[in-house]
Amino acid sequence: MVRLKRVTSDFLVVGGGISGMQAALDMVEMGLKVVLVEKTPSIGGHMAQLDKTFPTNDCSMCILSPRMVACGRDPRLTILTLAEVREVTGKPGRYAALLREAPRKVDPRKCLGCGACAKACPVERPSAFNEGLVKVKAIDRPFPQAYPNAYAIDTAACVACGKCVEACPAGAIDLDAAETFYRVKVSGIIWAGGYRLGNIDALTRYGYRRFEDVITSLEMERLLSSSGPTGGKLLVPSTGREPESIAFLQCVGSRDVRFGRPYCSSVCCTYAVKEALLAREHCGGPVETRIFYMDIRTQGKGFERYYMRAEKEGVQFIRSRVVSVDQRNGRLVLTYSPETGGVREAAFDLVVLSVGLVPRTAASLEPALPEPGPYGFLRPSPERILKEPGCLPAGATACPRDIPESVISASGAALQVAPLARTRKTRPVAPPVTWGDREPAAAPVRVGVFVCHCGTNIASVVAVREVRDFAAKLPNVAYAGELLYACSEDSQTAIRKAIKKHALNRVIVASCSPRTHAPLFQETIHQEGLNPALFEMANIRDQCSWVHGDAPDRATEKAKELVAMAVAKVRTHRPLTPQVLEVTHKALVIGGGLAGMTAALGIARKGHGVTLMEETDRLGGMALRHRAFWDGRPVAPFLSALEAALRGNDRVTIRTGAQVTDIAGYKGNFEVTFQGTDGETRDRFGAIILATGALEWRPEGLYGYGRDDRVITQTALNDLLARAPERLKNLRRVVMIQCVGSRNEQRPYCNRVCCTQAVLNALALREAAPDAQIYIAYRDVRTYGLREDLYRAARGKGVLFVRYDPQRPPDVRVPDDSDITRPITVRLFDPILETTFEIPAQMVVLAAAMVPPEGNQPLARMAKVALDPDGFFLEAHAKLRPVDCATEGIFLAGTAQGPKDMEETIQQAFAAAARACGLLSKQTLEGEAAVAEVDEARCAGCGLCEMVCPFHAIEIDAKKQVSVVNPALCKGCGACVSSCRNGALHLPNTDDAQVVDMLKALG
Amino acid sequence: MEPARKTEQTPWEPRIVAFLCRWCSYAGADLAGVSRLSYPPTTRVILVPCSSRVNPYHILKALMEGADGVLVSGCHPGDCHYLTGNLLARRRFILLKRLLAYMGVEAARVKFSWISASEGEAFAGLIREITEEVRAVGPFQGFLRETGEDVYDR
Repeated sequence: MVRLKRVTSDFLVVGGGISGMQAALDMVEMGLKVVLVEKTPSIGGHMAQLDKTFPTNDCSMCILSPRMVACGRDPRLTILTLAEVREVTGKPGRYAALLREAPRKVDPRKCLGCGACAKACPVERPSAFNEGLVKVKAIDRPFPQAYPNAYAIDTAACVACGKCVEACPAGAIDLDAAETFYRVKVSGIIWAGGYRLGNIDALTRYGYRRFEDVITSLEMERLLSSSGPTGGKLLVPSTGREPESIAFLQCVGSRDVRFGRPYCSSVCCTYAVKEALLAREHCGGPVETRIFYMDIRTQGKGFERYYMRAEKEGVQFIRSRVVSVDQRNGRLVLTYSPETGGVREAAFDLVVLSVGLVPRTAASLEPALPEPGPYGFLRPSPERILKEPGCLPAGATACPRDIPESVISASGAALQVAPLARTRKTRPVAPPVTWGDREPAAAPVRVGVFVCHCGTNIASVVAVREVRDFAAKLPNVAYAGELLYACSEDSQTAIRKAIKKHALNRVIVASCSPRTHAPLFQETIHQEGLNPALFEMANIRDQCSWVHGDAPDRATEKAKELVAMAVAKVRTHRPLTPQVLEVTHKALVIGGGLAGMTAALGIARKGHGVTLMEETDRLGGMALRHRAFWDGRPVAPFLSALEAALRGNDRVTIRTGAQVTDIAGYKGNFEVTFQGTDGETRDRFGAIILATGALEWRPEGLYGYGRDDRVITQTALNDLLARAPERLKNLRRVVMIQCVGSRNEQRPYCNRVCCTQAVLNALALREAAPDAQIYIAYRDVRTYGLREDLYRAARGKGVLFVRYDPQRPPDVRVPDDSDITRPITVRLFDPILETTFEIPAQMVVLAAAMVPPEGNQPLARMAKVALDPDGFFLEAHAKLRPVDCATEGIFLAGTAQGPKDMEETIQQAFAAAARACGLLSKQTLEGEAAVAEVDEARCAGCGLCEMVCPFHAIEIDAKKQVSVVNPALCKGCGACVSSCRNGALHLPNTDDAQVVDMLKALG
Repeated sequence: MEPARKTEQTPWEPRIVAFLCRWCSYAGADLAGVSRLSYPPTTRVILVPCSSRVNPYHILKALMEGADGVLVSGCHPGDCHYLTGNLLARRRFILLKRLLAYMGVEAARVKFSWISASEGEAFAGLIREITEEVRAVGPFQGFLRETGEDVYDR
């Protein structure tokens, strides 16, 4: 029977990868309702498959999994898995979508995740999560951390034998379950379909599918992953042994016109660096890792250092073109042509193809989406950005992107469509656990212990009855019981009944991990009037029965002790109530350049007040000096439309000629002091966006800059092209030099924008000075993503690219007498021809590094945020919190965070605005429940705690000379408590005395 | 607890108190469970918000209360949920190591490590390793000089 359900929501997000999840989470943070549609059985997308993430080698799953749980828990977010969009009609503000949800055949609300069904299932199929490297059963859970964390039947593989139905202890399986259709009415749509891996022809060309040991980069991720088919041991598929040599082939199916994919996939260079580094870490013996590449494109924040680290650790980089991959004597033989010409061969145990990204398309969404751009990517036009769009792409569907860029684009897209929402007023939604003050009398302490069987997961190893009987005799235990599945709905009722009947005022559940299940039980006890803090868990499954199956007696002993420790601890737990923080519903944006202007407009459109503060007397910042976006769209009209929109919006206050001199307070309640033309003023804000931009470094003394006016920077050339192109008409020879002041020891970062800018300016110069020969001296051409088209166009138009080695930089000689009739002599060593040649040039253009303004340092101190080693603002997390600061309530936009171009700046500004609006949309904020406390009688005011606190939450009160904890800033880590020499600091419910009680309860 | 009591009934097995941080190492231990990786049942885990919550006193007290070994494990450098807590913990630990050596405690008894939430295998391996190392040095015989009293008020 086909079912049709009708749903009304604010937004529809299509795609449950990191982009879709981020867009959905930002929307619910803003108080909006969202339907998230994912076509596989679990959200998570490609990121769930990755082992580590560059450039920090953070574990991918560890950072992703909490996001997945957050998605699953929010009542405003409806997640449909195994679902797809069939049809979309309507217009911005009023869309109707028809969704089809395929039958999962396992009820996720009933599924216990025990795995009995898969054990019983006789059918095997390749694991999609493990890229087909292993087989799994037809009924399976996509991966251990999946959400919904339930099994699903692959209907294509299932033979409907019914064995799983018999095996399931929860009656969760229904083989006759039918598909469901949903008719969803929403105001806007985010398309976050992500990418698929490139062209199969490109892969087979390099031996994929012909040779077992030629694998894709994603298969490599699975081989490296500890949750992968080899348990994190890197083994060559054909031999099962560790490889001694690995080759990485870059640009497979990217930058290749033969396969219709001439663009650069943007992420492969850095992920190859990562995989090479990880391979070296994983292998016991020495392993040769060689990366065969055309240009190394490590343009992201921190990526250049990562590249340098790989070189230092012995990863070899070979600039070449790979001709073919063959097999000889059981080894893979690469035929390649190095930069200096000729043909060479090298043999390897394993070949990894760095496969490019191809955007996924959705025909059913086409009526709503922007016009498809080149190669199927969906790049919204500037008009769409300035109007209020109803449907936007996010993540890799818009252009090849890495994780932080995807997160930024998703947050940005969420904010841009948000003003269309039907939900105008913030819907007050109760958080999953509410911390009331309904407390029974504190004494006497009566503890209830509930020991879980978890089906047979615990009971087959641990003698549950024995543990219960042991617990019943422990001091203060008023009740001890057993539960078949502590997490099931009927167990919640049982726990509540026991609390009432036995007047329990402390509860222990001995079952699985508090990380996943504590909130559930805390909610349960709170429903019965107990404060959620009066709770503790003993992990007798994940950290006992599951790992000690071979020693059941000792596992039972351990379970008993874990319960005894939990009881000893919970006895002295006291009720906690998190601080309720008021919110000032207004934001401050510091910096009136492109980033600041965009962020301010985004916030105002969402309906919040915003003050845009600019140091100079004019809005626009560095964007005023730019002619065009990278794709050639002019900047000036966009900038003036943006300024007009800001000036026409009565929620926006513009303050030019002003400076911030002090920032006090915390998230929701910052108190900011300004120094302006009208003297000193103060104002309160709920959130702050730092958009202070960056400056072009002046390369004084380098390449004749400052000694000859004809040596200029790319920005100056930009000015000339915009204002006085006629002055360039007679140029004959122009040399552009890349990486001036960047990618060196002093500034070991890539400036990201200059390759594209040089190519763009070269193309414009081609028009302005038709006779000029243009040389670009480069180290790697980093026209990443779709910008590669410009590089190809420039080469097609005769711009000459000459590579230089940093050891042999171009030699520029300007005439001594500043005689501008005499040429500037540029000597370039060409590593391909291995000769030096001389160019008499009339102009030399330097791609100078972007540098952070000096004002960042005092501002960072005031805002209590950190700067990175290069002086740009540091984000809270390189991957998943790219616009947040570690200090809550403060966000980053534009080049203040690191080099980026104007398109990326706009994206990031919207993202920062989205994060700020998430905070501003709330009526109140909740602080941490367990925060450090000071016993003033013991405090000596030594200041050690103030020094160790990473959140600046402790200060010494000048008058009383004692520590004072700001509970709004404290995160409850306890670093201060352990640093205090006098024992004056306490962390409630994880206090020293409680740790000691637990230790005393041992055996 | 008196270590001697156990030896009368069953052959002596090392007893190790493991302080694991909530965000990385505890999650890594959970993953070892989810992946059904077997390791000896010698540990008793105490969950702490951050490895920096572990006071050197906790480590000493664990030994005094009958543990034969102590493990403190936090996030890898750079991964700390509280930014720098794991580095603080490391600093304290280095100092404590010297004190322990002075007090005649074998280095194998007290260990500090980084385990991430994805390192189930590494966690299981670490417990196997520590168990064997502690087994090799035998039951804890007490400090050279007894310290006795609790230093914290109730």
